[in-house]
Amino acid sequence: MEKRGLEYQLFFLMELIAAFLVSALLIYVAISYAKGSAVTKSYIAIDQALLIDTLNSFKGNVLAVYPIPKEGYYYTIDSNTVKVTDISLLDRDPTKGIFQYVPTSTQDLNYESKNPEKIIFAKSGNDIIITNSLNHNIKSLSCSGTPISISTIIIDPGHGTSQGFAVPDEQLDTGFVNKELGLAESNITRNIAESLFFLDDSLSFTRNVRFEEYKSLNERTDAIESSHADALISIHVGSEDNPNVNHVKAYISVNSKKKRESEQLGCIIINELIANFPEITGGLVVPVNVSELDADNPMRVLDSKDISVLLEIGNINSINNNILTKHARIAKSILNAVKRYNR
Amino acid sequence: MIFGKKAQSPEKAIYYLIFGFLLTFIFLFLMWNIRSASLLKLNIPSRLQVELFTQRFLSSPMCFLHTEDGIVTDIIDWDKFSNETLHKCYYVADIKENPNVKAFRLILVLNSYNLKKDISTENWNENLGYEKEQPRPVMVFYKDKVLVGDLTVEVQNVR
Repeated sequence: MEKRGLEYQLFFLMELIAAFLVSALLIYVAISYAKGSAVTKSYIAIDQALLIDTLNSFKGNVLAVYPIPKEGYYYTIDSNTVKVTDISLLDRDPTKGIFQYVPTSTQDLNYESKNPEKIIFAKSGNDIIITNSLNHNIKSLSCSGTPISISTIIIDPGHGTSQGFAVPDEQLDTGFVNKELGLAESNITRNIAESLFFLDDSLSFTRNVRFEEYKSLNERTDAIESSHADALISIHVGSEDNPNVNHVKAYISVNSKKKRESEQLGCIIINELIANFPEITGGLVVPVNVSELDADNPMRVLDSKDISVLLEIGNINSINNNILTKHARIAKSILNAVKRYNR
Repeated sequence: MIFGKKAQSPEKAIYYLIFGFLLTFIFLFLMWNIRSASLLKLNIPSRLQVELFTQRFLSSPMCFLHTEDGIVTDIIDWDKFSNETLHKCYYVADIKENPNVKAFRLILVLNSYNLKKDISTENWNENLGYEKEQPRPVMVFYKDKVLVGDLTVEVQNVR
């Protein structure tokens, strides 16, 4: 009799637990709907999924700040899904809000946050950025050129011409450039080239990267033409009157047989620099008709290789507070961009 | 040993079975109701998503827009208008089976050249019905010329 009694008690206990679980679920769902929490979670999920789809419908860059209407939720955005759950229940939340968005093939969104005050959604180039605080520079370009594999590159650390910043000091005959800004530009581009030299020994250069040396445009052009490199990256420094402007421009030749490939390379380098330097105020790929330029224009080098880009980085007039002092980071960005281009 | 011969009479065993069945039924009923309620809440204007995605096809640099010297125009590039490009700009490879994700077929017609191209997203199912939008005039870049074409959008899974 005692054994049978114990069995009944155990079974009664199981019944009690099962009834309790079902009741708890029922009460939780009822409270969730009564408070509007279940509806709020669903609408937040819909809102954010539609926001991602909306950003993908824009041609340019967009920044949208999504204020969180209610505390206590956990947000995950990945695998094409926006999910909003209660912080305490996470995935076990029976009233979680879920909605699907459709990304592009290059977007792999991955965001999660507990109880954020706001969520920032941004479109920069072809990328979507989702974050709680925006540390990214969202001025990226949409690159739509044609990538092609390049294995060898020649770097041209430029230093202007008699029309620009720098002229050779013929009287001293030292080979050094003698104008203040010209020397500054020459020094910056040489330092970037030196960093590139230490990072990748497969690169070749149009002039010595260890010390200052003036090489005329013709000498540099000859060096480029005689090299077996697949592509040319010529590095220059921008000049803007407004010291707060720090643009990056990539000049490409419209006459090149591989204009689309050059355009893609320039665009990717700009985006990599923008991603690594929040100080950059904008980027632009500029096609130029090289044949119409003066004979001593530095952009003449663009016609020396089919795939060629002339970079104008930063602003010489804000040299003390801009990106031009960060040579190694610029060099790394350029090399990362080449890696991405080859992918 | 709850259902052991000595411990249980047949009536009690039936009682437990019915109880278990009822409990499972209540649980499933509740879960089904919660799910239905969630689906009801997701009642967004049916055309909103269709319009958003159509805008993506017409405006996103990832889709079919022609690029001229690095500048993205508002003109559809005939050569870029392909299944390959569409699958990149509307990437549903991982959610092909999800019936809530809209499927699209786009038909571009160049009347002046009597040309027609139709492309569809990876989740398009030829065996299912679809809704057809009104054709809209679009600019098309074809063989170095800018022409006027008609783009028709067909949608599946419209709710």
